[in-house]
Amino acid sequence: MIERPVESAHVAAPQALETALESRSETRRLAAAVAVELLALEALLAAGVVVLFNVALAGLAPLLLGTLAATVGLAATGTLYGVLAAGLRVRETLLPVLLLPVVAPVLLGATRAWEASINGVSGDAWPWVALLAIFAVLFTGIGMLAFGPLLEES
Amino acid sequence: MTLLHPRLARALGWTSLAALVVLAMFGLWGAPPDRVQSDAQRLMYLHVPSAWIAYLAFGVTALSSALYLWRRTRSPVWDRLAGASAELGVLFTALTLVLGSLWGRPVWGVWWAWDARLVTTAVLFFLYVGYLALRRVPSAVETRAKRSAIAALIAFVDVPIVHFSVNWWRTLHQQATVFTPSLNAHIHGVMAFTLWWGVLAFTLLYVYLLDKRYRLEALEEDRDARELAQAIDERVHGAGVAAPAERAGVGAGR
Repeated sequence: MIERPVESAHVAAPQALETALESRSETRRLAAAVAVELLALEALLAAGVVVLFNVALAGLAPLLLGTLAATVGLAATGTLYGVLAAGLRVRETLLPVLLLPVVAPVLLGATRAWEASINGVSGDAWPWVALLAIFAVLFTGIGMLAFGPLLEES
Repeated sequence: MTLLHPRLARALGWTSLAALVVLAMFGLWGAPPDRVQSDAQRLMYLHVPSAWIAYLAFGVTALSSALYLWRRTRSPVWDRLAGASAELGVLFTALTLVLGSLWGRPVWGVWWAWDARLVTTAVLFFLYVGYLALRRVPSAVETRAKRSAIAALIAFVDVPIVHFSVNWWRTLHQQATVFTPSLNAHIHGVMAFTLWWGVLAFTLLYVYLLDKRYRLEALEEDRDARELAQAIDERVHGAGVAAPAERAGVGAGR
């Protein structure tokens, strides 16, 4: 008896998302919204790290650029897979399975870039910033190309 | 239904089997033991070809997916090919990881190390396992094909990251031996021959298996379509004794 409303809610939500994502500009706005949300979270976390662990943010340039690139990469892949899995019944299970391996380089690269910047060796951070930037550009590009065929089905 | 003519496929199967037997002979007896790693190095004759086939298979998946997405070349053939090749890619990636692990135990002293290239290869494995999971989600054939094609292209972007990671991270894994920046192979003689022979034998095996898997995929789709048509037919005309007569009536009406 309890199962029924739950199930219908699960089916209804992706459909609502699908209709919300019908236009490309909507998807672009969604990706931007995800990026802004992530940036706010990262700013909060960075402030927390600085205050709680008494860290001096030495290499500010690679830190900011790396964070920005990582955020764009995460937002692009997240939105892309969100649209990809929209309307699937097993969406909740499938999404992390699909998304986590893809963003693994971002998580690794961003962690290393921060590590190097905090330790004051920003020279070590730059290759990672480059990796993050390449990732961000690649996946934003793929996302923009892929939204066409993805959305034409709905 | 098939990529290759059945007779050609059969010949290819026997040829790849013979090539694998020759590879085993050269790998186990023909090639001399490595000066440093002794016999453990012989696993390379399987490990490197497996890795090569994994890359090749994922490359074929990406290419077929791109051809599917491009409207002018859109055809279910590319979707089937992408799915079949991805499955083989996952198989050979798993083989690469297992063989590497078996080799790592005597040479590195550990089964697994958190080396960048190992980790990225494992990531690659999980990427395509996810892709196969996405393919298994029941949905309309065309919707599924489009989704999987995009997922395959995304996953493929990870492949160059894996390849270049060995230069970027500079860790425990051996530096590239054959495709060094100067393209000057650091192995010679019988060992090099055995390695290249392994690549050839595995490529033949890959093409043979790809053909088989493609055929299976086509048969599965065919069966699904037929079952669906039958179910619709039963729904429309009602299952029962009267069905054949009714169906005949509808047919005559048209």
